[in-house]
Amino acid sequence: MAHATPTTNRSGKIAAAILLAIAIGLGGAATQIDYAFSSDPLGPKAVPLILSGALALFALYYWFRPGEAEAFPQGPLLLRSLCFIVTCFATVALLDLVGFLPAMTVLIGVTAYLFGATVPGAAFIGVAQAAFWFICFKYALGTYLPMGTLFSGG
Amino acid sequence: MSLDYLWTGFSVALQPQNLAFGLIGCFLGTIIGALPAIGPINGIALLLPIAFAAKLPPESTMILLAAVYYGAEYGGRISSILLNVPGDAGAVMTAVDGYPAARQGRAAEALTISALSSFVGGILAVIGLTFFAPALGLIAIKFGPAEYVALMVFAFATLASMVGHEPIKTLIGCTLGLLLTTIGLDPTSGAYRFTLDQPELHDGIEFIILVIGLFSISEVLLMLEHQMAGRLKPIPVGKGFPSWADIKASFWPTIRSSASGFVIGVLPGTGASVASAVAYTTEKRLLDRGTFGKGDLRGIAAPEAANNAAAGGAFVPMLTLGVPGSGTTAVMLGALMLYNITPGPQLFTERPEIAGGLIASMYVGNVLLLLMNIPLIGVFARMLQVPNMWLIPAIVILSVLGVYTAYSSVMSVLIMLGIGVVGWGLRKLGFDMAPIVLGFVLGKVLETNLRNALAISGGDPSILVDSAISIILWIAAALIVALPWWLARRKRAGKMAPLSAEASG
Repeated sequence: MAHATPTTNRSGKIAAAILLAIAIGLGGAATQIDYAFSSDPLGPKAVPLILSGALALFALYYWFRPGEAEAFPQGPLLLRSLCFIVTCFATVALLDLVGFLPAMTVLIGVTAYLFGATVPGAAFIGVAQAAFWFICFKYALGTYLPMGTLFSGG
Repeated sequence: MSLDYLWTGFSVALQPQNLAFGLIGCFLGTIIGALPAIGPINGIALLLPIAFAAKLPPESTMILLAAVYYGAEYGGRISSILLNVPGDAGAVMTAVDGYPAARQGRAAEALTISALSSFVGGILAVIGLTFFAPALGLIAIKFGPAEYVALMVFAFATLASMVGHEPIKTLIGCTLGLLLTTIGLDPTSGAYRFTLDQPELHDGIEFIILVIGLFSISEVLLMLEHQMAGRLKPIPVGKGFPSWADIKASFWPTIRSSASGFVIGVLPGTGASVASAVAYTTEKRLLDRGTFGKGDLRGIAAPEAANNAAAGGAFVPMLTLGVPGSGTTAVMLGALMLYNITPGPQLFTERPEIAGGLIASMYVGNVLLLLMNIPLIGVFARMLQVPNMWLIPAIVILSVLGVYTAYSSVMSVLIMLGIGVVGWGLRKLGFDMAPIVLGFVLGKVLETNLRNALAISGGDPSILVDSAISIILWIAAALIVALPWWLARRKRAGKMAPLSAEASG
């Protein structure tokens, strides 16, 4: 579980600034909500406006009192975290194009590698698990899984 | 009310073929429930056409489907406790204490407490269903928008217990959860809010996408850091059974949560997620001495009992009024209609084998589930001893598959991953995920009903305190916030009194 590693409160201040920007952005967008008619006196804008106002106030308070936070990863650890995140997004984005088996083999293989498998071991885990889950979901549960438009020509 | 229908029901449910269907349903339900995002509704939807095509009699079909429902409710806990991947919406609160308990090597204890409290919650709900179904059905239809607003305010009041040593982070989390519910089509006005012209956002962010992202993906990212830092140690399986003291300590939370869960389950549109959230936060408010959220077994017992009691409660409006109390009971209602059976009070007299068979099968199903799962707990707990290089890729792919199979959309999976990365950042900053989830669960019901209530009254807010039910709920909400504060103040004053007496003496 999370290890409390108190660090400078800079990350808290950055988060507060991001939250404040989100609150302002959402508040601004809420005023632009377009509707012809609403049967209730509040309308669709009121709740988002109230909530973004509240978030802005809380973000300001958080800016001044960010409290404790764990240190974000740096160096090789950051690189590994980024590698995992990029692999997740890339393989999922390619799911419909290349199909379930190749995309998930890569995702599982890279994750296994990051969690200590050797390269051949990771490749084996990737192929074995992708095939296992494919059979489970496609044949046992009968759910739709993409076969890849790249190979099927679809 | 005569219980003749129930005796007829037991004679149906205890027939060997129906017992076998109950057992098969419990087993399949447990497996289906353990897979993330494949909840009871998917299991029932999957089996219904098979049962209909196999020309099973309606009572056997209902027994099979009810067993799948119960099995899946329990199965959802396995992945929630062991992997921090909630199998369905009702299992989210179980992860809050269940997962830390598993990481401490107490997975088997957590699973046992979960099984026992699920059993108690399930059985108490069926007893409630047996004796009070028609009366409760009539109360449920008295719940209009104003009463739902009061109920949601009550639920938010219980949230006060989530405020830790950094209340601002809880408030921000809750507000973020509430804001997320405003994304998508506003059903009252038909306006699109914050959809960024993305069709996938027109229906808003689905609960399961949020939960899998916040809990599962963020957890994998944290584990990756711990792996690199050498802090990710193999987890011991631990002893199998919780101690007698733990079971005793969980007794009253289980009973209280079963009662509240059943009542919330009876109300159409609220369901297991609200029931488990209210039960957890109420018990935390009543009992927490800094142990909740850190593997306290009472924090597992409460949401589990509530969640299973809500599952039973959801049958009350379905059987007595023909109004489904949850998505799953809506599918079961469809199953009854497939057999040309119309639910309602007359169901208990005209088709006692259906109403009685279903209720009797719930008693039997709960017992079967307990008998089947207790011996398997050791096997489930050993799942944690699978090396991380095998286990964690499985968590990742189940998260991806869970969302993809539920929504058949790559964009939904990408949104889930994005939420996971944001959740990781928030967890690093010391934010708790539970307030975000609770804000999300309660927010939509609150806004929709508040606006509907004001639409009915023409903008007059007095409608919110216009009925006895609303007033009781508002008072309960005020009490739940004020009482612990008042008690703490009294306790402090009690401690101060002898000191001042000593000083003056």
